[in-house]
Amino acid sequence: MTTLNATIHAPNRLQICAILATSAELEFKLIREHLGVSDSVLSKHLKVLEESGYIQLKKRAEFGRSRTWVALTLEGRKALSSHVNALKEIIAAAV
Amino acid sequence: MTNEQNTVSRKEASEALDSIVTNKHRLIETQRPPILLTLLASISYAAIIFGYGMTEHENLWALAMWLGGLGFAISVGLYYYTYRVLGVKLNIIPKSSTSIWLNLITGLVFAVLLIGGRELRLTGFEYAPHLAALLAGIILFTSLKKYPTGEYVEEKNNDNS
Repeated sequence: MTTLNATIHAPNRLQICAILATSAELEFKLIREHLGVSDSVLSKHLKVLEESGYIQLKKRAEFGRSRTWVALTLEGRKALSSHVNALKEIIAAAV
Repeated sequence: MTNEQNTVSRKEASEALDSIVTNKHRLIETQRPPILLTLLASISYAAIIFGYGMTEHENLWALAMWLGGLGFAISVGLYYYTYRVLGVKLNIIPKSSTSIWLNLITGLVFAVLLIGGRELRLTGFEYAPHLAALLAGIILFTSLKKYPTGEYVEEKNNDNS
């Protein structure tokens, strides 16, 4: 049986991982606006995910300003996929 | 999370799954290039297929094919650039296995339409390139509208029971 991932299961972190799975990288500002949270709250969640090896942060100067890009690592994609399977198992087991 | 797993109910698990799909959809629906750009890419691509199907000894349809190619390259470049400005960097090669299969099948369909349109015209079906180009344009437009980042996104589940 697949187990739920405590790092990913927190609502904001689950949303972050979900939207990161749709593309190669997302800009910090875009994620913040999507979640409707402050810079500090998002930074805390990103730090937890980064320390777990699920995301990578990259700072680049583009269009005349510094932009922070966030990418889901291969490990992060596997963890998200495994977490989704665990959720599906819970639903299936309860039917 | 073994202990916590026991406390996650079916309803909570279902809500978590819904939130994953809903957030993916919200992102791809709100952050996307203008629909005109998608239309331009689709029309240019259809022009390539049509031009290739109609080309005879470098006639004017060959020019249409090259112009279609140029239009397609420009629109794809603009598509990537617009996404970049919006704060989204697209994958050149999709990451999930479902997305890879989806892209491979779409590519195969386009190849069949490109070659099939021309070959059928040469065997006497005059309107084959017209049909192939129309189908290719519709398929590309629908794919870009449904999966604009190239990654497969599950359908929204309206059944919350």
